[in-house]
Amino acid sequence: MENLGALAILLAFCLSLFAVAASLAGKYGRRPFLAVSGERAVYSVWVLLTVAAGLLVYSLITGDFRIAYVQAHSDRAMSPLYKFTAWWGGQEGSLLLWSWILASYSAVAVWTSRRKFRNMMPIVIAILMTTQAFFTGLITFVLSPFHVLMAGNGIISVPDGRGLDPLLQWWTMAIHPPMLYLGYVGSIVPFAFAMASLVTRQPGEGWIHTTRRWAIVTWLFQTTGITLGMGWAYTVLSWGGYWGWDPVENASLMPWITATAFLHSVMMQEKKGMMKIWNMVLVSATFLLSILGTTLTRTGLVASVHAFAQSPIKPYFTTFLLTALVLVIVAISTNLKFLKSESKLESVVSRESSFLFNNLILLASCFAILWGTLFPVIMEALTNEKETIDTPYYLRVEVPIALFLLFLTGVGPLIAWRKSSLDSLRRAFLVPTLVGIAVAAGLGFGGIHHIAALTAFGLAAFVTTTILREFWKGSRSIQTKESMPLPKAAFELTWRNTRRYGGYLVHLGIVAMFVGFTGSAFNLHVVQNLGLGQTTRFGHYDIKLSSVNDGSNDNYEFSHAALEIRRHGRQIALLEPEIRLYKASQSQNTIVGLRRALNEDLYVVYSGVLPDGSKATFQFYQLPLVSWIWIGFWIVLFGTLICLVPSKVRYQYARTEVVGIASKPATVQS
Amino acid sequence: MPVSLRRCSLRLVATFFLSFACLLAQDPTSVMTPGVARVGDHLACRCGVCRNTVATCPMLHCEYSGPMRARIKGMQDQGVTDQNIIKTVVKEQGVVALAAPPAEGWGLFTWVMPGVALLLGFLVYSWWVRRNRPEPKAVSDADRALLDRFRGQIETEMGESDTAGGGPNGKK
Repeated sequence: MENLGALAILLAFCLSLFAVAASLAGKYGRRPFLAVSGERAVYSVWVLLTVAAGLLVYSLITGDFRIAYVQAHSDRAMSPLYKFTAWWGGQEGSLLLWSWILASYSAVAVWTSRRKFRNMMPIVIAILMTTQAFFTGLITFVLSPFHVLMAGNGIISVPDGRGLDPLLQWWTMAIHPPMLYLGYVGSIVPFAFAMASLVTRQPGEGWIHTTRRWAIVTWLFQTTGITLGMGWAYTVLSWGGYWGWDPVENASLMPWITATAFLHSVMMQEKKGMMKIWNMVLVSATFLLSILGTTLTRTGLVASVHAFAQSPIKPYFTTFLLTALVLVIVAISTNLKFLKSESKLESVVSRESSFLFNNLILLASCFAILWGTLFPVIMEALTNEKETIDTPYYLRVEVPIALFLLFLTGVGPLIAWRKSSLDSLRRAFLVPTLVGIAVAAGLGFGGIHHIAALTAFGLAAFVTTTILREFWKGSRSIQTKESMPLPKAAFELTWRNTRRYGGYLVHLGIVAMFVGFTGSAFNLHVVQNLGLGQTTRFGHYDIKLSSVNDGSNDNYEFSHAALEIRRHGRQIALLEPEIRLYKASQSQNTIVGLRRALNEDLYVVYSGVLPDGSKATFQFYQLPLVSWIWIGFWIVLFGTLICLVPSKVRYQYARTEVVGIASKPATVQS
Repeated sequence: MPVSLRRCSLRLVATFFLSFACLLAQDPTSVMTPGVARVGDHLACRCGVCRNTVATCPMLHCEYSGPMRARIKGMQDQGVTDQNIIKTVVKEQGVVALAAPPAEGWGLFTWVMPGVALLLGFLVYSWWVRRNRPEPKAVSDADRALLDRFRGQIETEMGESDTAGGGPNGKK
C-alpha cells in the first residue's frame, strides 16, 4: 500500500517534468505530437495523484498505523468524516492535497482550453507542471505522507494513533482547508494564462475572458475558505472573535485582496485595452502571495497559532518563491511594449479612473498587512531584536483604509465610463449621500458615539442606496418598456447583464459583512461565577445555570452545562456550552453555547468549576451584528454565482482611442 | 451555595480541577479593572496562542495575560503610573512585550511604511492619469455651440440608457 502510494507520487513528479519538457519541445521544436503528449501527461499526473490520495485516505479510514502520518493524525475512535479530513490535518497530507488540487485544476484547464488557445497551451502547461513538479518533489523526497514507522530494519505497527487535533474535529474544518486550497491553488491558473499570453504575445482579449472566469471561481473559493475559517474561529476557538490578524489569517487575506483588485481592473483590459501591465502585476501578485501564504503556513517563518510545526521545507519554498518573483519581473519588464495601453483616459472623473484608484487602495491595504506580518521577521534579521505587531496595529491602519474602500464601493457604480459631468454626478450622489448622512445622524442621536462605527454605518447606507437605486431604476425602466411585473423585470435586468448586477450583489454582500464587522465596536464581555440555580443579569439577558453534567464517549470525556436564557421573563433559549477532553491526544477543547440573532449573538464559554465545587465559571459575550457577516457571505456567494452565468445579451466594447490598431464599433449580439 | 456540582463524576471533575485549580484559585472576575485595561491595551499577550493584548485576551486561564493583569493591578495599587508600568515591562522583556512597536527608532518604519505605500500609490495614480489623458483638441466655437445644444439631450439619454440594464456603462 505505502509503496504503491509513494510510487504514484514519484511517477507524478516524473510526469510533471516530462509535461514541462514535452510542451516546450513541442512548441519551440514545432513537434505537435510532443505538445499533445504534454497534455496527456497532465491528465496522467491527475490520475496518479488521485491514486496516491485515495490510498492515503484508505489508510486513514482503515487505521493502517504502520504509516507514520496515519499514526500521527488519526485514531480508531475518530468518526469516518474526521478520519477523511485527517488527509489535510498534517503537513505531508496537506501538501498532497495541494498537489492533487493543482493536478485537478491543471487537467480541467487543459481539457477546456486545449483547442481554444492551441498556441498558448504548451506554455500554460509548462507553468502549471513546473509548480506541480515542485510540490510533488517535496512529497516525494522531503516529506512523504507514506513513510512507515520503523524499528531497526523492520516496519512496525502501533495499536492506535495520536488522533487529530481536537480543534480540527469540527465540520467547518472539514471544508475550510480544501476551500482555501481551491482558492490558493486556483490562482495559478490565471497566472499561467497571463504569463503564457506574454510569452506567446497572444493577440486579442479571448484569453482574458477565460482568465477572468477562472479568477472569479478561485476568488469565490478563497472567499468561502476565509469565511469558513472565520466561522470556525468564532464557534470553535471560544474567544468571541472571528479574526485575530494572525500571520496565517493574513496570508489568506492578501491574495484575496489582490484577486479582488484584479477582478475589477481586468474589466478595463476587456473593455478598453487599458491597464495591461497592472493586470499582469496583480495576477502575478495573487499567485506569489498564495505561495508566500503557503510558505508562511508551512515553514515556521513567522510565529502563528495556525502554522504547521517547523519543517525542513523552508529553503525549498523560499527558493521557489524568489525564482518565481524574478521570472515574473523579467517576463513583464521585457514585454512592456506588448502591454501598451490601447486606449486613452477621457476624464479623471470616470469609471476607468475610479477602478485604478480603488485598486491602489486595495493594494495599500494588502501592503499594510504584508508589512505587519513580515516586519517582525525583518526586524529580527536586522537588529536581532524581536518585535510584536498585534491587533492594535492592524486596527489602526486597516480600519481607515477599509472605510475608504467601502466609500469607493458606493462611488464606483455612480461614475460613468469615459466621463461623468458634474451635473450627472450631482444627480447620482444626492440621494445616496443624503441617506448615508441621515442614517449616521439618526444613529448618532440614538446614542451611538463611536466615530468609526458611525462612519461605517453611514457609508453602508450610502452604498446600499446606490446599489438598490441601480436595481430599481433598471427594473422600472424594463417594467415600463416591456410591461412586466417588477420582480420579473429585476430578474430580466440581472440576466441581461449578469456581470454587472451580480457584481452589485457581491458589493451588497460586502456591505452586509462590513456592518457585521462594525458591530465588534460594541462587544460586551464579562466573566461570571454561577452556582446551580443561580441567575445573573448580562446585557438584557437573565441567565440561569440549570445543570452541569458530565459523560464520555469513545473519543472524549465532557462536562456539559445548561443555561436558561430569559428576556423580559420569557425563556428565549437554552444554551449548552461544554468542555471536552479528547482521550487520544489528551487535549482539551471547549464548545461554546451560542444564541444567534440578527441584532446580536449571545456567546457563552464554560470555563470550568471553582476548586471548592460550589460554582462554575462562565464567560459571557454580547456580540452585536455578527450574523450579518455570515448573511453577507451568502449574498456574496449568490452574486458571484450570478456573475458566472452568461448574460442574455453579449456586448462588445469599442476602444475610446486605439493606438496602432483599427477601432471597432460597439455591437450588441443577442 | 448549592453543592450539587459535587455530584458530578469524580473522574471528570478531577481532570478539570487539576487543570484549573491553580488558575481559579484567584477569582478570575476580580482582576480586570478599567485601569488594568488601560495599561493592558499597550501590552501584547505573549501566550503564543492569540494575537490579543493583555487587556483583550479572552482566555480565562491565559498563562501570560492573567498574571500580567494581576501584576499591573498590584503596581497600580502601589501608585506606579501607567507609563512606568509599561516601561518596567519593556525593560524586562524588550519591545516585544508591546502590542505594537513604538513610533521611534526602527519601530517608526512600522507606522510610516503603509503611509509611504499609499503615497506611492497616489503618485502612480496621478502619473497614470497624466500619461493616459489624450491631448486636448481645439474645439471651435461652432463645435462648442453644437455641443452645448445637445449636451442636455445627451445627459438625458445616457441616464435613460443607464437605467435600462445596458452595457457596463449603460450605453449600448
